[in-house]
Amino acid sequence: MSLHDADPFLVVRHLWKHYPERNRSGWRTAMRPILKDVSFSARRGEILGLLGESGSGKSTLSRCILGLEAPDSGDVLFEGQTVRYWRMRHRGSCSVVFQDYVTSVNPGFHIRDIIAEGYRAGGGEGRSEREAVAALMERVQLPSRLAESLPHQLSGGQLQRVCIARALASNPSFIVFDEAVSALDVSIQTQVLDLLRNIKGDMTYLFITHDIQMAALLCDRFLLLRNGELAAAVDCAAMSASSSPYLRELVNSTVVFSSEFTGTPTAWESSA
Amino acid sequence: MSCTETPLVRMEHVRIVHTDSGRPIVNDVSFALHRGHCLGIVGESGSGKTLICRALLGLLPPALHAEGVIRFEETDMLRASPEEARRLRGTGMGSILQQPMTAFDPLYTLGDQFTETLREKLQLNAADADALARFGLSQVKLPETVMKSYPHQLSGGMLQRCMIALTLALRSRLVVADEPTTALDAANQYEVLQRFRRLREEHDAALIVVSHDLGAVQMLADSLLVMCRGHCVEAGDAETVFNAPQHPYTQYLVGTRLALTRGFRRALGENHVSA
Amino acid sequence: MTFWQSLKRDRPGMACLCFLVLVALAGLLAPYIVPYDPADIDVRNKFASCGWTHWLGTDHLGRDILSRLVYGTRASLGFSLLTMGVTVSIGIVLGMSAGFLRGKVEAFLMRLCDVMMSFPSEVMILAIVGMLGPGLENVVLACVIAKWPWYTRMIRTVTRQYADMNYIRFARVAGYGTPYIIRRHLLPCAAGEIIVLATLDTGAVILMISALSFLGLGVQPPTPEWGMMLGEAKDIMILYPEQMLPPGITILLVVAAFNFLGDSLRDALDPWHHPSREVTV
Repeated sequence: MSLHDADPFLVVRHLWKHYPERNRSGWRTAMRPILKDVSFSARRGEILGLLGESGSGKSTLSRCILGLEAPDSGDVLFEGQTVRYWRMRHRGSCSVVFQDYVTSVNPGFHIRDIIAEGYRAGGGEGRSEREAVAALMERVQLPSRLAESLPHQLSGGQLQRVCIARALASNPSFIVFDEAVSALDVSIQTQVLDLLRNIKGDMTYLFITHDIQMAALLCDRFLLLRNGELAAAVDCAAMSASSSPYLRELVNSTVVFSSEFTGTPTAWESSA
Repeated sequence: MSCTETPLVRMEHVRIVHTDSGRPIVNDVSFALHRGHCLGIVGESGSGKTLICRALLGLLPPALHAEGVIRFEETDMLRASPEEARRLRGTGMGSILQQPMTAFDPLYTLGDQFTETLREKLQLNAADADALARFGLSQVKLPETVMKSYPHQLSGGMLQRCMIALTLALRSRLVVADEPTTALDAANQYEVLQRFRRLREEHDAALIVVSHDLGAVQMLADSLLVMCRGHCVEAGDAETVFNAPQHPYTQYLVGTRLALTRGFRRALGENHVSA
Repeated sequence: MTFWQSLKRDRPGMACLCFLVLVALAGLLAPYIVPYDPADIDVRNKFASCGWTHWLGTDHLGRDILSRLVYGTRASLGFSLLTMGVTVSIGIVLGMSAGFLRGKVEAFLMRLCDVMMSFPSEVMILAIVGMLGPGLENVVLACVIAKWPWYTRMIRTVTRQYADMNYIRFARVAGYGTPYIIRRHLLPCAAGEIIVLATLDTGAVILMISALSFLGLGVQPPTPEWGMMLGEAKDIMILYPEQMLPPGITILLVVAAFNFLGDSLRDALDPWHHPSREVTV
């Protein structure tokens, strides 16, 4: 379907990736396929979701798309160019936010330097670095006094905002969010998702998650990945019309919170 | 909640303070929990909800101590000897932790660990312990091959169900589950929550479930305790609190959780949110 | 930095550091501070006991022991630091190549390390010095050959451990090259572990140089060196046992200071040990 879009931004074609399987004595016995012939494409400016359970290969897929790992066969093309070439040609136009915010930042760096690293990757033109960092921190709603703090002095939500600011800093056209909100408290997840929506602009997002509610909230369209295979591509606006049995299964096993509460909650200064 | 029998767990004006500085971390928490009932404790990370559970289990970190009254059945947990607390943790109350991967020893099969625990806690012989372990696994719908598996061969959801099986086999009268579904995938979450529900309904065990995810708590809890920065800001019947939250913090929690669900409902074309 | 603050708080560690700095300064400034030329032979005055003229007495040729000890610092401390410097440099280059390039490079280097590490290092050092002949340069070379596999292996492990960190992945995605990542992220992270191991090992190298000089394979007379002074004192141990004390105690103090300092550095550099990192609840 979307493979035949007129001007796809990202095209993934017949991607295969195997990992060696080892037996108890550590010998390689077989190659286990992690990604099996994965093909899809993303339009420019789209929020594409990637939904799957742990072990479904979604993190491997994200690493292949980012060029951190080479697939065994198949292509990842950005604007028609291979990912490594495209990344080299357009420095800083590719960015990523990981789930584990603790290992995402160098524990010895000040917040200012962490964000500045992303800024310099994009060439760092225009304003002075100090101004740029201050503007980025404002954009992700971080108080500017945190610029001189060290990562361990920040809460999880704040640290993930730092990672988002760093990812934005190089002015990218494509960001991968690899379970970027899954490790946060639910109340903070909502705030961060709102933030992601607000800052999106004309960027293309690949939003990886295991939670269908989050995918439905943020994405235009999402792909279901199961055991390394694409099980379905679902348009969020027409989710109920989808005939995929796996989607049905996921929907039925979703823990939905319901409440008759209708008031708008006052913005609560988060304790975290 | 107007049961006349004595509650299984009773906490009165419990404070948890930093021993050195005297700084209180949890202030004035009171609740009573009867058999077959479920208490949900919700709040963001750092609100002290985990510490309440650890105080009840007698597992507070050495730098902290609890004041007030914590009673489990007839035992005063704050004055119980370490041996007594350990005996109760084995047989009276079970705990299920957030990270199922670290709850088991990676060097032994689950069967070994099950039977060893059962033999030690219940003084059973090997055959009885084995049978009991298999019974526990069947209760959580896990195949018996799990007995021969090592922890790394199972998914997080399966390990979490193993923990539930163990508490079932030990016939725990109280199960304390601290963020039992946070580390799990959506599909596994649902399965694990179903098991908890059965644990409560069929085995008449009391359950304390701690989570920042109101959806998970809503599926299980009868009554609710909302914690914010060490204070209990709202308490009461779970449905009442969820549907008509009074405290602004509870409203904030409910509101943000509802917002997360909104896209999902809209996408499915349902319209549960009454205007 | 927090590292420096936590080291300052550690009294024994600071004392060892000050002591070692003083010893090193004394060695550097030896010509200006020693009262006598260490090679000045004064046979009439041999075996003089401690006193105002010769603070630590004189040896079997009437040379001033204090002057010889201070000059000996150059050989013992100076060359052990040189050895460690060369070893650590080799370790960083090879270890980081193995940790970063992986694949065949890593396999080859690690098997080479395995082979080298399967010889007892003392035996290997003796064999190398035996082949190349006695002399301080050969001792240094032998020590480097014996020690580089340990550092290569350690640095490769550290590299691999950090190479999977998300912040290094981010730097890659953002388009930074390997040299930047090594300079900005890996070296500072690995520096802690390298410094700790190198500090502990410097003591061991001092012992090794002293031991080989004691056996006559290291420093050649008349250059003063602690181990050689000990060797010379050994010949007259029955008559003048106190001659053993100055070089022996010096070696003991310096090596112990390095070991204590290594422990303190380990604590100070441990990122989980920061005083500012409180127990979170």
